[in-house]
Order: sequence, then structure tokens, then C-alpha cells
Amino acid sequence: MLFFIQETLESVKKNLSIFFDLERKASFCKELDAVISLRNYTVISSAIKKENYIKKYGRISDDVYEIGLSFIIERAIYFLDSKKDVAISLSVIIEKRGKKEDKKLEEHFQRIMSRGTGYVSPERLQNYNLSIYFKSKKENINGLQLADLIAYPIARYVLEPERVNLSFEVFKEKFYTKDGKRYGLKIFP
Amino acid sequence: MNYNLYIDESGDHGLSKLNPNFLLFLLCGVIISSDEYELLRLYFNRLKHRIWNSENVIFHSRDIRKCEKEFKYFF
Repeated sequence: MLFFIQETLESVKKNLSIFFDLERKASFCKELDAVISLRNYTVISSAIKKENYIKKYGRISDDVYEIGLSFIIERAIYFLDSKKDVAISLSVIIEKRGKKEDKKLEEHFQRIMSRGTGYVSPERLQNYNLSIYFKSKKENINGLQLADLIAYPIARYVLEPERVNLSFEVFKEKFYTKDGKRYGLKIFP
Repeated sequence: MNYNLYIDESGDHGLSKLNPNFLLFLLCGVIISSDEYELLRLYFNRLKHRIWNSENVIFHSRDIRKCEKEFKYFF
């Protein structure tokens, strides 16, 4: 399966056939590459190494999704601090998973707002007007699709940093860096 | 100025059954100003139009990867 339109298998098959045309496919890849490398955005990601994590904290501990979200919000605040704009609001947009999961994550988000994170106080968070939204895949949010497209190459890079990773090369300059340190890729623990 | 932070994951967040080939949970955030986001949307939609003649296409990397090896983009 390649891409899906309207969620019907027939339409998936129909659209798949487009890529049997290799020339068209190459042209698609080239243009997608260009958009990903040329647009102006910043990557802030968090990788949890499961084996190290379990050794340190055990299997029954906090949700790694929540830990990742805390890291990303923390570093997004560093990023916004560097912008020195007077009034900034930040909308966090996450793909819907399920009612229960979304509710739990939203509660975690509210906890971050009221308690802060390890490095960012709640007062500092309140400098920015933060809100969280859950969107379904069907809503076709291009920003979520960009995050999806680059997530896997980042994961591959963390797993095997020495291995050739051409897709990672396309956007590796986009990580949030400050004073030469790559804050945009937090590897934990 | 408004900024959007789009977040998506790679790998599952479970700790009970581990996949030995993917011992990682990755959460990826893309932070972008509203102005720049309008441009990103424009370019994504332009590409969708050019290839599929419609904006109603969802780029999903897992599906792309599982396709075939010539599709080396994000592989």
C-alpha cells in the first residue's frame, strides 16, 4: 500500500498504479525532497531507548509518550525564548489515537502546564499561550504528515548513526540547535 | 505570532513486548510559524495536485516504505 485516499481499498489500488510509472515516481520524490529541505521549520524530537529505559526505570513506570511530549515542549520553549517576539502562542497538534489515549495525554499536557518540566517552570510556560489539539488523519493536516515523514529516518539515525541514511540528510540541518548543541534531538536515557 | 508544533511518533510506546529490531520510541515534533506553515501547505498541496490531481491525499511514510525498494525516498 502506498498512500490512501478516501480509505477504500479500490482507490488505494488505483492510486498505487501511479507509481508503476517510475519516472513519475522519481519526480515525486525529487519534489518532496525539495519541499522538505527548503521549507522553513525546526525539528524537535525525543528518542527513548527502551532497553536503557527499562534498566533504569522498569517496565511499569511513566508512559514513554508522555515523557517524550515533556521533552519536546521543554525544548520548544527554549526555541520560542530565542525568538524574542512579544506575544507568542503555541498550538500543539497531535494525531488522534483513541479517546482514552487522547484524554490521558491531554491530562499529562495540563500537568505540564501546572507543574512545569524538569528545566522549565510553570511561570515560564505561561509566557506563551499554549493549547493542545487532537486531529484525525482524515483531516489531512500537512504538518502532521511532515512530522510523520521525518520521524522514521530520525529513528533509524538514532538506532544506527553510522549507517547511510539519505532521507535523514535531507532535513538534518532542521534540528533545533543552540550554541552548537543539537537540542532538537533528545536521546533518553 | 503563532507557532504550530506538529507531533507524530515512530515505534510503539509499549515496554512489555519489545521488537529487537526497533528498541526505540521516537516522538517527532515540527515547530513552524503560522506564516511559514501556509507556505508548507501550499507546496505540499501543489505536489499532491501535480501527481494526483487532488489535495485529498495523505502522505504516510510507513505505507511508502512498505511499497518497494525503488521507492528509496524515506526508506
